[in-house]
Amino acid sequence: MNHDDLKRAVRALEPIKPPPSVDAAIRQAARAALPSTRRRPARFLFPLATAAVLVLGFGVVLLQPKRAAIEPPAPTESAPSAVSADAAPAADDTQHAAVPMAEAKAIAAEPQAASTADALNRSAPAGVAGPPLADSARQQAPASELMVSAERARSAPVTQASPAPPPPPPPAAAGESIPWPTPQTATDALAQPSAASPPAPKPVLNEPFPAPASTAPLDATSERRAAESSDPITVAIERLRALKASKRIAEFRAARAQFQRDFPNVDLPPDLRE
Amino acid sequence: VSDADSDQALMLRYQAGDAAAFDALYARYRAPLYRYLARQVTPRDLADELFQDVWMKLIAARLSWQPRAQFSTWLYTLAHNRLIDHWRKQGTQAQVIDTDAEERALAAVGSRLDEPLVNTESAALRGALVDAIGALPTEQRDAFLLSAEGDLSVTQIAEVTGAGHEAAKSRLRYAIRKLRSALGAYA
Repeated sequence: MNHDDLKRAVRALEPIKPPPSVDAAIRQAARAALPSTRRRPARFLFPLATAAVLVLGFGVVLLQPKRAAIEPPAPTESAPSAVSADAAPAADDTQHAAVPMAEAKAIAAEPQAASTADALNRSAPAGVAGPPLADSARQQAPASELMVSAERARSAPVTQASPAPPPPPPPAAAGESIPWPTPQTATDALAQPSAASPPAPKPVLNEPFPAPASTAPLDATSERRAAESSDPITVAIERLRALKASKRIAEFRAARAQFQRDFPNVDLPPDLRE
Repeated sequence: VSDADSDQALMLRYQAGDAAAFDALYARYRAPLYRYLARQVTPRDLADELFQDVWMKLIAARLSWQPRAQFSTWLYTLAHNRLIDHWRKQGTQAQVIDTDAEERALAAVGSRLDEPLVNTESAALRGALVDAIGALPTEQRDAFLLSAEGDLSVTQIAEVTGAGHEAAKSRLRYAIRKLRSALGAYA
């Protein structure tokens, strides 16, 4: 009996086989192992998607304050529409938003400038002495200029009338912001408080604008033109041009948005549009 | 899946996700592998457990298999290692070759062959062969069963058991000689 005979004899022994339950368990395990291999890509896709959502959400949250700083709150229906409604000033924090809105409404009503000026006269405190606003405004200033100046005139007595006058706005640091040139109009002179009243903080038109990001000097020509002009629209447009020329894009956009709010009926020159 | 497919091809297909390829491999190796284990351990339930463990390990390690390794060698290496683990856990070391004990065991097989055959002669041969295999030292029995049930060559046996080629060849030669001696009456 050689090796091959022994092998044959061993294989001819009673056929012992694994029980069917073991067979089934092994085959099932072999199949169950396969889908797990195919699911592998999904294992990394889920953390990847989660990370992407987190990054995007974080980015949106980071951008949110900047956008809020640039865009003023949208006007609501409950905003005061008449000049007389501004007699009671809002808190300091909301004053920036409320005043431009009232200004926009007033300027939008340009054809009714005369009646608005009359309303301004009526809303002035009785104790404040000064020449009447309406006549001189009609005679010496265009409608838009009249409204801006009238708003300034309105703001001064209102500040006086409030029981606790708000502190004057902090002086802008040199190079931090570009002050709007104050046009010398007749209504400006009329808007000066009387000698009896304490000097009111002089409203500055650039208050709603954010501080500029850079201190690069503006275009000298634009500055000179702006200084020479007495029209607030012209002044604003020249200032926008100066900002654009000096590549201060963020300030330019903010100033343009402010311009469009202040002068909704005035079309921007083509070179200042997007 | 056809019978002509090589083990390597089937294993590669199973690695790629073909469950039918695994079924073909399993059908090809389930009986000899089970016999290889069942002839080395008792009771049969223990052989079932070891058999299932070996295939589970193969399934788990399927991606680590390389085509350059023969599938049968790999499968029987897994089975051999599982047996070693079992013996180690049981505290059963590989039997030291005890000539006297071997002689006693093989003599017992021979004496059984001298008993009156109540069944057929082949039945007596089968019983004597099973007893003779069981009486072999562990390493020799392992080498013989790898050759007889797994159809492995001496080189493959050496690879599976981790022994040298000469050692594997020697174990196999001793096992055959003893079995031949024990079954002399049927030769």
